Amino acid sequence: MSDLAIVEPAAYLNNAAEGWPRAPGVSQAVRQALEDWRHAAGRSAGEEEDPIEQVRRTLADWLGVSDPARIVFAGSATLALNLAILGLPPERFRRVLTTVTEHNSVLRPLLDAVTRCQGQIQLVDLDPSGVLDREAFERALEQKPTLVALNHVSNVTGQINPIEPLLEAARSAGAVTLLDASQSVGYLSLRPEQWPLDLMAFGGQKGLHGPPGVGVLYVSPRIELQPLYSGGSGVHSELLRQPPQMPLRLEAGTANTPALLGLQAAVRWQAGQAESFRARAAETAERLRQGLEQIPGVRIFSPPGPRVGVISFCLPGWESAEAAWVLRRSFGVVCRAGLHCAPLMHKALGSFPGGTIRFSISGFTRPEEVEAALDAVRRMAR
Amino acid sequence: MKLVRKELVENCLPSAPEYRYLFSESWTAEAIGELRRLGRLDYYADFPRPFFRLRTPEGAQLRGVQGEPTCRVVFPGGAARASDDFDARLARLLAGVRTEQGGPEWE
Repeated sequence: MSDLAIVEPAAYLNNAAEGWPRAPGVSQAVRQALEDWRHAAGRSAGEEEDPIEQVRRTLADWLGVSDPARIVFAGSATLALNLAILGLPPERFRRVLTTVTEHNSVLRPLLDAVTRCQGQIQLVDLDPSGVLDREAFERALEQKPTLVALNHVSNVTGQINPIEPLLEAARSAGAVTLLDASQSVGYLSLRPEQWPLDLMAFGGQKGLHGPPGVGVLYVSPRIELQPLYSGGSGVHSELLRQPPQMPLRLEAGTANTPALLGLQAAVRWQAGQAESFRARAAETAERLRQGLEQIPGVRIFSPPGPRVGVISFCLPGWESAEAAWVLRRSFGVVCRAGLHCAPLMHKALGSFPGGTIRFSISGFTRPEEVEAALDAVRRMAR
Repeated sequence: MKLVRKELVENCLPSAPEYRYLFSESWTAEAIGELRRLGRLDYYADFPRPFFRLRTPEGAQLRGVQGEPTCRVVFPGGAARASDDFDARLARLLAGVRTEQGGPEWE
């Protein structure tokens, strides 16, 4: 039973979970992949070129990665992060450094691996202004962590972490570096080969406005991950183990070709629209933030410094989950409430256990959607 | 107006269990008004789709939107007995409510 089918949305402000609408060309690409028999033929079926390898080249070109084989496809950003973390050798979990801003997609596999390997994990907190504590991070590096996992953008506050100096310092300390780019992809330029990082992951359905069901993992040539699963690869079937070469090493089983071709369409669109898309998103986010700031009683969790269009707030007299439900059911404003799979961030912000209401915009968000959301919050705040 | 189905709803908060209730008919202003007998009722009639919230002395919280055949109910502590008691009182209360509109069709 569903009670979500009746009201058409007046505003879609849930882009940090899933970007909507899809980028132009995405739906057509997915549909074409489902309807065209050539996309079902698979590897070794005599086709001139594997469409998945075309997608891989598109991603590599877009990310500035010289060897497309370093781009691995997975079923989601979460699975890509699991491939990255759990594929590392046990000694990498001897001393792990990460931050309170991380999503459970990073925290949970890290904790699993650290526990299994009897290692240690250290968390960098926020400083009093609400941004990642740089001094604490640098002090923690003196302990020579073996792995540093960093969030590019917080999915709670939209805060952008200054990843280049942080990653540089981490690498100088001898750590393997992992970047979770789930919230930055589409809104910030990603240059994994130019940055001092070893692993980077993101999904297709957020800032890229591609389809769900596809995640991307960049693996630098410095790193050799152990496969988490093995099985059919379509090539080298004479081997009794997963083929050792990248990316097959990490990609057992039939790929989600429709989602991958949808991702390719999203990336192509993004490549041509990045500047205007990001400018529109920034302008819209600022308008929304300023509007919320003017509503009496609204408490915005908004750290200083650069950020993307993710805004968390609380409304007096309303629990966050109830407020989001009312926004959706009474006003047609689609948003998200709760802990946003980032419990440590909410503890650091002081919004645990109730969580926050989260509005997240995109370059597709229209001014009238912002006005509808602000009008709803104003009326609820009375 | 009868309770047709009740199911647990998962959310991402470490809060009390939340249930979704489906009724045979949609909530009307009359049916919402009857809830006052069970506790404190907040009724936001000026919202585009009026919202209501009931808080019982025992701590149960019910929320819904006028015109829909569903509502959400939270039982602090999640005690099964509290849930059963509340359901029985709600059923007795709503049994006497007559609504003009017919029930929705459900698959």
